Amino acid sequence: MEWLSLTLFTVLSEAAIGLVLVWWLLGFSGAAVTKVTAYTRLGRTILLSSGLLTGLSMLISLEHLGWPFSSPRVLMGLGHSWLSWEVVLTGIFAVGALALWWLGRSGNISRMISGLLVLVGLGAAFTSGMVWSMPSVPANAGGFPVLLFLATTLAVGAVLLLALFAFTADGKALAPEMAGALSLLALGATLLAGALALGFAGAAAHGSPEARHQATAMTSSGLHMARLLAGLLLPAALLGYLARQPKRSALSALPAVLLVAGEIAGRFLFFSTMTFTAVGG
Amino acid sequence: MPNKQLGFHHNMDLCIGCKACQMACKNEYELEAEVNWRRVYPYRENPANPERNFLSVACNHCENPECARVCPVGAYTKREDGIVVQNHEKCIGCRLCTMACPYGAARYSPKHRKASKCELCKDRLDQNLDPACVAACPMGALKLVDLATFDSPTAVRSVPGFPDSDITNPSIRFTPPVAGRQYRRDA
Repeated sequence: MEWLSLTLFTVLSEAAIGLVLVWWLLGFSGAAVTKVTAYTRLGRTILLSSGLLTGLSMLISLEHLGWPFSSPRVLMGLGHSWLSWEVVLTGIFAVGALALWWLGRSGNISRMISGLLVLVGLGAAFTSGMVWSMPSVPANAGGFPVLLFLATTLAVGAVLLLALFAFTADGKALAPEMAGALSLLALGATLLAGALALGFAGAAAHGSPEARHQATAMTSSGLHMARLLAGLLLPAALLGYLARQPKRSALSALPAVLLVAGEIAGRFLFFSTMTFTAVGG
Repeated sequence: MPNKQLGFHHNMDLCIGCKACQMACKNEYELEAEVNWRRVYPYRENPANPERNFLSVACNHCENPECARVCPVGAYTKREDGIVVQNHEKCIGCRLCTMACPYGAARYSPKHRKASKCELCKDRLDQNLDPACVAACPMGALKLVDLATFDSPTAVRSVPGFPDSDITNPSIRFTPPVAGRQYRRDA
């Protein structure tokens, strides 16, 4: 399970970033203005959860990065290494989310500062994708990982927020106005993530011998099919159904469970099937 | 091309695949069983003599080393003589260098949880000695060369089966194998 810590670090941190991103985006809706107290209180719950989740993901990442006392050295590579930027931006995001949660005790969360936090988070997801866009992995060399990681961020963030609508009092207060739109946003993001996953495998299948090998390894794995069916198609169908339902129920949490599990499976597959250039093929 | 760029010249026509170079490197640095800075591969891509051609490859001390680009702790530096060295103390074991190098030169040690690679025996060079692999080759198939002045009519930048040289511009030259002649006794 060599890739497990990296898989969990990337997916969990993207989930945390996505949660703040989608909550921030919903701030432009009319319901956020009319129910500002519920929106802000839900925001505090999200900021605390995201900060802790990102912190947890960073703790998990220490298994493969610095184990653990050497990890602060990653700051030395900021001039040239995407990995350094990934760690720094993820760390700033975690601390920023917790700081904003703390500052929000007054009942007011600055839209501008939370917007900056979203930018930092997206920067972390972008740099995370860039780390794996390396010429020695021909299938990844075109920058596809950036798109895959950003799509996961959006999709997982949207379904997690939808789950919070069903299980928190503030979410329930906001749900009547926002849940339908959020379900549609989550559906679109899930379909986008699925299309990118298929596009990635398809592009690799028409690439260099190493890329073709990677595509075969990916698509022949049982995890690939399980993720497509249970981790993308099923949540998409559920989201389509939820978009038409005016009432929130515990069913709202199911797409989140399925999609997060699917993204973890997909990310594990992404890492474990990477095929590198090698002497002699 | 810088004023000096040390690298290897592998004459595949002379190489017999004995792995003396690989073992000499391993002995010189007391590498663990699973870590080989130099590796000898059977050369199956368009061989002149099937089953008799080999590629001997270590770190290629590239002009644009990917290991140095991706390393988050700046453990890799390129010296004025072109050798890419690694500060082993800085390594935090993220393995990114082992994945980013198109030639798989950097190797990860599960025991030490760090990566390491060939440094062209820089300490031996300081003593006017050849690198251990070069000194050990019984066929003289492996040579240390300065690519700034190296000129051989038979040497090429790449051979089939060697990853794209345009990624990092590796400091290695090959002399491809020449097809052997077959002599038959008249019936």
